[in-house]
Amino acid sequence: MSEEQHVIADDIDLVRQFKNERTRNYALHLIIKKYEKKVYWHIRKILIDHDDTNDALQTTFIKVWQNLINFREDSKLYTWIYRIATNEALALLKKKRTKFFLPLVDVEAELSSKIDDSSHYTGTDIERLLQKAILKLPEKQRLVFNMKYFDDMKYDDISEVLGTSVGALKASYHIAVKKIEKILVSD
Amino acid sequence: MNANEKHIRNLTGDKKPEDNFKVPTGYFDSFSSQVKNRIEAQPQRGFSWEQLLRPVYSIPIAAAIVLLVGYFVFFSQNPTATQPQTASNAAIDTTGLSTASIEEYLLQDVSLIGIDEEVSQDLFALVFDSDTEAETTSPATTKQPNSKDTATQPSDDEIEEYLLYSIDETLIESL
Repeated sequence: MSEEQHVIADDIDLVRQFKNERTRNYALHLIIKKYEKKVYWHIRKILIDHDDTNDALQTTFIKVWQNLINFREDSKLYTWIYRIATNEALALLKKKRTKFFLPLVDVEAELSSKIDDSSHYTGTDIERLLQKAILKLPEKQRLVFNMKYFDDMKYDDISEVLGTSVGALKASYHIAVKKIEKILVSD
Repeated sequence: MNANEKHIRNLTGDKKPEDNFKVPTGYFDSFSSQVKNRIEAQPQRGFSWEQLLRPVYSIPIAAAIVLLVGYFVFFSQNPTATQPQTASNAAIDTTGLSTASIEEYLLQDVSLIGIDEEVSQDLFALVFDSDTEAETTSPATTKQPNSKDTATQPSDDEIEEYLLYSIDETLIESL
């Protein structure tokens, strides 16, 4: 059995434990422990700020708690959790824009300033430049780039998370990589 | 990995954002219990009678009770009050209308409809001739509704003649 098959088998077992009322709390604890770091970093790359990430991550697992009972076992648990997390992160960004009446550029500028802040980010200049270049990408390209470039996720899994076809994702990633390379070289 | 991606990795190194973004110490140690606390603080989703006191439920329920009580009080005090008319019993009684009265009504109002009088007369002739014939024949010779008797139906020649006479030539040419 491959590592991926082990993970899926584990997840099926976790979901079954969750559906049993007696073991539900314990199963949730195991699910959180298994996915909290991965999902945290997925959200953090979108929101940059730790406090916002913490809010979105907590909401993600509360939604997991509320909806896992209806989870169909023909889906992958981790792509399902990633989808909830992505939606929560994007919803939080949208809320920020509407709350402060900020256009898209200003929110990205605010996130970019956090990368300059050494209390948030400790990377080198070129690493900062890479993070800022990612922030300049359109939303979907940014998500695809993060999931493929940093997490090396399969296109099939990204497709399940974002609800976009594999072909469109490959095209998005290709364009995103070219844009980032251009920014890094020109700067 | 394509050439562009390789180029980016060469330029920036292979460090992950996880290595550069700061996270408060011990954050992941307490995260699970933070979620647990928030779940416990959530209101229970099950049914409780107290929910019915919320305006969103209580106002419609009160209105429904008032209407129901009012309905029974009204009909218990007025036993002769008629039930509301349904669509079936409110339907127009057409059995008392004769073909002649309908024909007369249509002939009077034809100018309002905007049909050419000559055409309309032909139409009436076509529609009502069969009826008037049926009315004058004895019950023993009355035709069945689905009878294919050609005596009451216009012949092909009649239809052709009617169409040639009534329809504008330009319209035929344009077909």
